[in-house]
Amino acid sequence: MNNGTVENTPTFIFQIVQEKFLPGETVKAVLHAYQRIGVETSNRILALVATQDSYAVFSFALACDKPRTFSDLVVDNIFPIDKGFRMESEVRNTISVLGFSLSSSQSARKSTFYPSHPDDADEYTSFKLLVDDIFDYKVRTADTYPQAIVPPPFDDDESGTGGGTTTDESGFFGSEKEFSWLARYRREDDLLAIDRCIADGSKPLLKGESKFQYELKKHEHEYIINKTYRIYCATWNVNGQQCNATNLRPWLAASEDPPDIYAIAFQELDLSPKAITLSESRPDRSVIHNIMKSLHEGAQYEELCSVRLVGMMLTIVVKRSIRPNITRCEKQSVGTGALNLMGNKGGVGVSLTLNEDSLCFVNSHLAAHVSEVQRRNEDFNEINRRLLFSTQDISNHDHIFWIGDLNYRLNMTSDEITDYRVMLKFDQLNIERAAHRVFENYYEGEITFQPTYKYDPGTDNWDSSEKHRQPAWCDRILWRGDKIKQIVYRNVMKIQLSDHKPVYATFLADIKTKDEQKYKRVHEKILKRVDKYENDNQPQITVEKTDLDFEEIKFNEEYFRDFTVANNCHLPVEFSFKEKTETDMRICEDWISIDPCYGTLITGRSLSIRVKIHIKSETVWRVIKKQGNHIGKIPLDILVLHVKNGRDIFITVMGEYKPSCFGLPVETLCCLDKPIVDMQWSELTEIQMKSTTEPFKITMPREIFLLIDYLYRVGMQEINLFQLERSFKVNDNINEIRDWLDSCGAAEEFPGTPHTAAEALLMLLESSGNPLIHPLDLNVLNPDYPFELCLRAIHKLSTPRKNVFLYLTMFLHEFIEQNRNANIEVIAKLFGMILIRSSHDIHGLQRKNFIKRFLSRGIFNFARNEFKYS
Amino acid sequence: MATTPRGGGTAQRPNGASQNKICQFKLVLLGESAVGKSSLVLRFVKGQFHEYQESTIGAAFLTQTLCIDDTAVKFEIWDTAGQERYHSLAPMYYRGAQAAIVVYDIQNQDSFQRAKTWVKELQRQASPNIVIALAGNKADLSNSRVVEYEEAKQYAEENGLLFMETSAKTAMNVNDIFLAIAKKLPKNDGAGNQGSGQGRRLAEVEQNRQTNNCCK
Ligand SMILES: Nc1nc2c(ncn2[C@@H]2O[C@H](COP(=O)(O)OP(=O)(O)OP(=O)(O)O)[C@@H](O)[C@H]2O)c(=O)[nH]1
Ligand SMILES: [Mg+2]
Repeated sequence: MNNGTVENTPTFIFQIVQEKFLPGETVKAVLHAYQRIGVETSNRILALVATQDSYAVFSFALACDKPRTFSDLVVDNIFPIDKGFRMESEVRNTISVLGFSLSSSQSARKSTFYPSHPDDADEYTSFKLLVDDIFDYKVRTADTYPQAIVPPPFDDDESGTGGGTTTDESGFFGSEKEFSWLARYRREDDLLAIDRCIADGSKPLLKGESKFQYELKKHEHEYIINKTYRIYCATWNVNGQQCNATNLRPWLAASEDPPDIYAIAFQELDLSPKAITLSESRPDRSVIHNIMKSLHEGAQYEELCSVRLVGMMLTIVVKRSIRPNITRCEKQSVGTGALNLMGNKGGVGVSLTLNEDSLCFVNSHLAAHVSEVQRRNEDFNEINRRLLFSTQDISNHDHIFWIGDLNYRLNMTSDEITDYRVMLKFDQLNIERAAHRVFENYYEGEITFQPTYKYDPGTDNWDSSEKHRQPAWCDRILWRGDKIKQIVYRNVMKIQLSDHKPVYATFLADIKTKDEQKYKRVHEKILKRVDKYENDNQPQITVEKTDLDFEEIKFNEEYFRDFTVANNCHLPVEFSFKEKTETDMRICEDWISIDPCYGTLITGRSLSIRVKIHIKSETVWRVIKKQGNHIGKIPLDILVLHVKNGRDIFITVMGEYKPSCFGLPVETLCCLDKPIVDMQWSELTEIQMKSTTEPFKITMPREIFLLIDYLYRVGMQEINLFQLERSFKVNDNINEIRDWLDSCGAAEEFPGTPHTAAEALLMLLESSGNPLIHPLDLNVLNPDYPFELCLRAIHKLSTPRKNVFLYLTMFLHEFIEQNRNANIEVIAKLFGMILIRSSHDIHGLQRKNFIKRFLSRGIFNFARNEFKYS
Repeated sequence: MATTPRGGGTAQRPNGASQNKICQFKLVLLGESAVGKSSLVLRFVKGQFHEYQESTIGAAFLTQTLCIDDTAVKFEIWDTAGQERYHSLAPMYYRGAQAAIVVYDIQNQDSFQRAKTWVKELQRQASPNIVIALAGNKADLSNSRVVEYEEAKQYAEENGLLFMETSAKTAMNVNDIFLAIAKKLPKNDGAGNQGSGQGRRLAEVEQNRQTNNCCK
């Protein structure tokens, strides 16, 4: 295999991506990446596309692994580079997985990607640099760019069940005119690609997501609005002290308005070695009890959940009225103390879903001591890596609040203490963040309060112990997420219980929320659209004809008709012939065969299907039954041509089965007074009905007489005339004999040979619906059954049957006598199978022995008496 | 593993209030050839009418969703071939159906008699809870009416059928008859009782069940 095919070269991909766009829309860079959707990964090609005055990043899904034309690329998502655009790297220290996320004000949700070729960092790096440059140039330089995205003014209107306030989603980042060109690429028929992929066997793009859900998601922006929620984060290292309701109140009830959600973090609740070694994980109920008594009095609250690890505890309390909006809540903890295991240090977290957004709260207590900066950074990474919720890690949340005793100190000596604004320059966390070593992509509000550590308990005085610990802002609150606005960030000086001061911050967070009215409308619209889509995009085939006319059909003759099926729709088509009922699993009658009976057709292809009819001895009676008394052509069978996920087409097999002696009961044959060729089915059925009551016109069927007579005259010395292996069954000569017999041995000479005559005789005997010896008392097959009684059984058969049996056995007896090569065992076995066909499972040997009893002894006397000339 | 997959489940989640159920039902149309089965479906699904509608040779299916209250009823509609020669294949299509519309032409007495035999066959062989509607179609041609409204109405009442006279041409009662069926179909998520009568609830609905399971 030549790996250097054009298809794989970067320029080729570049070209086909460019072909997706109009002139004036230029592809600047391309990046191969993949995306996780649930547990599936899907390949994507990202493209940075420029027009004269705007840029956007397109994410294309691939219809096949190696796209060959632009139609193999399907727009999956578009991220216009506007104010709300973000491309953020997710750097993981432990394993070199380099992911990044894209978001924009127009796409409903942040998407996380991973470069397909992580080793080839160049493709990613150059793509990212270019995107960053453009973002800087287009957006950051524009005067409107804020440090964090600030939503329009919040008002305090407490409407709706959620207690949040609604912000006008269009005002958020008004979709600007320069991005109007993107609309063309947000087409609904992208859905087609899903089907195409599924149908042509390449990996489904969005497995497990129905079209409906896919569409609903795509239209999220039409019904998702932002609702503002007040979030109150609080952290306090209590230094093992028991806190009570009075000392909590100034810390937890400090906001003007009642918060919607509280995230309350404690450290060092319990410093005992027992708590550490047992990894205490039971929430401290008395503390929680005190919390619940110390909250803002403007609303009713309930505890959502609490998670504890040794001294760390995180309690989430929510306004009762928003509780129904929280549809998921999980907790998790990670120890990073000794051996990265002990719980004296580490983090506890709660992940929850509020309306349509996910929120994560982390309370962490990182390594202590001035010199342990590196260790603290590592603890942060360790918690990030190991604090996993059922479907996501910390970084996957829409809103993240990271609070706790982070233990970062000041890189200065204590006598330098002057103004805290100056001191903040030496703050290790600020230094580490600026160097991108920790809390990448997190924000922290400005610190306008005194260091929170270390005080002499009961005072506001700095540590006076001999250690003389220098002050530091150990206790911090950071967040990640663009729709969060911090309102206050303070410590509470007047709480003097611990050597740490408690800290709190309040936020307004915009939470994506379904607008029920709009959602209902979109929901309905999409249902209709999916209906329309499904109806318009059914796989379909066209068939050349729905009637296959076989005209006249004769016994033992092979016929076929071909018809074409074509795929003129835009989807690949899988077709098959369908079984007609649950009980009858056949797709057609036994005497019909279809080739091929299933297949796949890609667009534009057609295929010829051959339907064959071959009516043999075993099935002829069914055809006769079907033909009934109809004169001329009838629908012999209806084939159901099924298209997967599409409509069924009925193909009617038309034809007229021509009467022949084959398949008719001997009684009927004995009632005929003219050649069968001259007869209609209506006459024949009439005769058949009367044959039970009316006297027979002849003693035995002419056809059988003629065949046996011929064999008697010219075949008595023939070798291997009757064999178990029926090698003359498929021989054209049989059909000449058929026509000769059906015209009732007209003047012409017998057209066959002794071998074909013998075969014709066998077929004639086996083709009638009932066997010759019918009905039959099964007792006669018992080898000990007196022969006299066997003769009596024969005596009881209808006259034609009896006559045929006697004539045949006498002939066979004679044949065995005269022919030195004749093998009585073979002949008895052969005729045993044909003359005694019973649905009962009669052992072959018994049938053979029964016939053999007649063949081995002459039954002349019996025959002479019995043979009736009616 | 350094990463955990991004939760597919975070995509959309019903919050406490919204209850958008989707119930899917199989509906089959039966009736003599040329009474207007395909025309009714075409009118209902696409809002169109063809003066020269081809006779159906096979079974076509289309989907259409009706929203009633907070439930979306998605019909999977099977339009069958009315020609007598295809009669034996009908069970393939009414098997498992939760609803049927038996159509006759008000201008054609035979087609009404044929409709009655279809009803009998359905009552005998289809799902026991099947909702059957009788549609006297081509009501726009009431000048040449031979099947009286009252007669059909009475028959329908005796047999517990929904009944309307419809016109695929003027759209009269077309949406209404489907709507009436949608209303009569059971949409509760009742346990057991699957297979017959119960609409298939789509996956989306399943998610509703997982609300409010919090770690407490
Ligand atoms: N005036 C009038 N004509 C109708 C109406 N409905 C159907 N037709 C006409 O009746 C003819 C037969 O309609 P179809 O919808 O093909 O009938 P069908 O029941 O599907 O027939 P098969 O597919 O053969 O079973 C067409 O020519 C239609 O245009 C109606 O309500 N009013
Ligand atoms: Mg039709």
